[in-house]
Amino acid sequence: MNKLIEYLENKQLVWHGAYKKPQITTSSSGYHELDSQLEGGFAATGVIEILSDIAIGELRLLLPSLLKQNTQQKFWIFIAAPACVNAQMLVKQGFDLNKVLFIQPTTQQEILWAAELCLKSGCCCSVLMWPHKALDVHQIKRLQLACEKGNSRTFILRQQRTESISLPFDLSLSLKANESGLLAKVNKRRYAWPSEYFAINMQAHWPELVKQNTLKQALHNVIEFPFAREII
Amino acid sequence: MVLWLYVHFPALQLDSLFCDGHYPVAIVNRQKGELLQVNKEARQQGIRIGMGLGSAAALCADLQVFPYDQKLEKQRLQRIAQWLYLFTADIALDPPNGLFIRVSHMLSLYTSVTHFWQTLQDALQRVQVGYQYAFAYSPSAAKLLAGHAINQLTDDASVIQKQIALCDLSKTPLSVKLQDKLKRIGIHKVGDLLQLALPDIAKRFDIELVTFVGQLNGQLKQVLEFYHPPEQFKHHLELLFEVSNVSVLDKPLYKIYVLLQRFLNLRGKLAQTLLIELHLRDEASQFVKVTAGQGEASADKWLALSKLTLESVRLNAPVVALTLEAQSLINHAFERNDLFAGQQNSMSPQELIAQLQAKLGDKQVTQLQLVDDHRPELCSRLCPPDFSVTPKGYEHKLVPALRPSFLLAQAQPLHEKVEILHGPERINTGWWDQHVVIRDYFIARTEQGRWLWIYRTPQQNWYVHGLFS
Repeated sequence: MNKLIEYLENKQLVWHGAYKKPQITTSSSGYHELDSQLEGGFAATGVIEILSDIAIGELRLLLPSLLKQNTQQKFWIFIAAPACVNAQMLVKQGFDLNKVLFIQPTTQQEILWAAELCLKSGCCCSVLMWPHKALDVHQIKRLQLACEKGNSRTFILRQQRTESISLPFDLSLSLKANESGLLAKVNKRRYAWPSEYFAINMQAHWPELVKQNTLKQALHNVIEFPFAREII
Repeated sequence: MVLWLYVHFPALQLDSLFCDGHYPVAIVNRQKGELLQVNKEARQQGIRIGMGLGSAAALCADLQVFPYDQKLEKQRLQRIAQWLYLFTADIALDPPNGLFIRVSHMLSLYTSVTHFWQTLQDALQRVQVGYQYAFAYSPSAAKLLAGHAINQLTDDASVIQKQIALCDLSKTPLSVKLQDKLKRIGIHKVGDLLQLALPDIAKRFDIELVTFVGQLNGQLKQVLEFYHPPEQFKHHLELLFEVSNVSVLDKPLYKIYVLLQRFLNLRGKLAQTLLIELHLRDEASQFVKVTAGQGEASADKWLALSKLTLESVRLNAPVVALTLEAQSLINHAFERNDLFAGQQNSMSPQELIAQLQAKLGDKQVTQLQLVDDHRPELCSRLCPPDFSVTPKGYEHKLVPALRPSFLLAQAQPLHEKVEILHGPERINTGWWDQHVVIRDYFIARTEQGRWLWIYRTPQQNWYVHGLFS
């Protein structure tokens, strides 16, 4: 009997009522809707999956947190980006170009190799990668170990999931375009439950990239005040 | 009188072969077909120097035979001199396999001849080459004695004189004809020759013998050109086997890297680029370049880098030899790290970039640079990682209004229905350098909610140039 429970525990099929959540250090993503959903923002280390179409604002969503995380003059690394990152945009956002590396490997193998090396090197804060092909469980595990070693995090950006199995990401987000910004959904999060689609308003960071006539609609869209819950 | 030391390397080519296991190996003279150098394993099988190739092969069937190459020995001698130069100043090369070393002048640095020789012996041991040596009061006397494998440390003139007198005429550099002539008048040893007065010799024999005797007893000066070391590292290594698998090259390469490390550490330098020449059988050599952006000296680090680079190398033919050349040496600038700065990086940024470049290729690892130009495709540029491409502060002036996150390498024709939300922003420039740009830029949103940076040409053609990812 005991053996059975042990076995189930190892398989992570038993839920403990007295289980305490480990403390995860997070930093604000710069969007309060996302912060409240993720209880503080993106974790400082880990493998994060972003499922999104290209050009709806997926990178713009990450930029504020990328900037905020880098307090020690470490590298931001772009691996196999779909097109060349624009230096003008980065500078405008406040990035130091001397700390940005742009790597274009040709094969999936090389993308993963480069990502792992960068993550564990200890001189990178964030790695953004755009893999070409389906990923495997062991590849994500390796990236996670590398993240822990180098105290860094990686964002894996892709258009859709191609694997049939569930991968051990620390966080997986799906993004959809919305007139006032983005609609996001937490597919999977460690030590927490998934969510439904919720709106992220990008008006504050990107006033030009929001449809103007949506302002009126936004009034009807009641957004919870981030501290409201605590006050009650 | 000036004390000289001569070091003779009897099996220089043999000792510089890369030998992994224990095989009988011999170096053979191609013209005469006789053995010049044999190793220990071959000697145990009964093979001797001077034997014909046929009888040697009869004695030992699996004897490895290499043709004698004087050029190779000369190169090796150069490197030995380069190494010894760190310990003693006056070295003259005696190609293909000997070194003259002037001892007297070095004695003000070393307390005694014994001390001097101990230091030199240590250094010679590290070269891993067999040698014979002798001390004498003239260069040619030292050479003559070294040829007899005297191997005795002494600066006593009378002892040296006795040893010279016992030397056989056949070991002298005199021509056979001259030796015969001397034998006919009853001179068999060098000692007999030295008893004759120099003017008498001059009367009966030609100038060759006069210079020989004169140089031997120090009456005539021998002109020697002293060695000056070049400030570069180049090493050639013959492989015992042909290697067709790249990963096997790691071991011999590491051997060279250790030498490189010693070379660099002694000079306080770092190497930025290594050029590895793979000499192929029956094919032109293949070149592999290994770079470490900010310089590196450690053998282990170089090995790791070259492993990554060699992974992507395909050999056209088996490798028979290696040449490694260190290019662009820089001074070692020591980095200061804060002892209390919390978690230390396991790798420096330079190391990371060097490793990435070694595996992926130089062009795949880049940095972004901002250039003072209004044309978007020229303004943001990729450049090799340098860390000082864009000075701070300067860049903020160059950034106009809203710009997309991604720039497409080639503008694509616009095919979908879009809603224009901002614009136009006209860019009309470049008339001076054959790259004219007249465009009206707009920010547009597609029905799927994608934000595009599009432009219109004067011909009313629409293109997508950037993505607001």
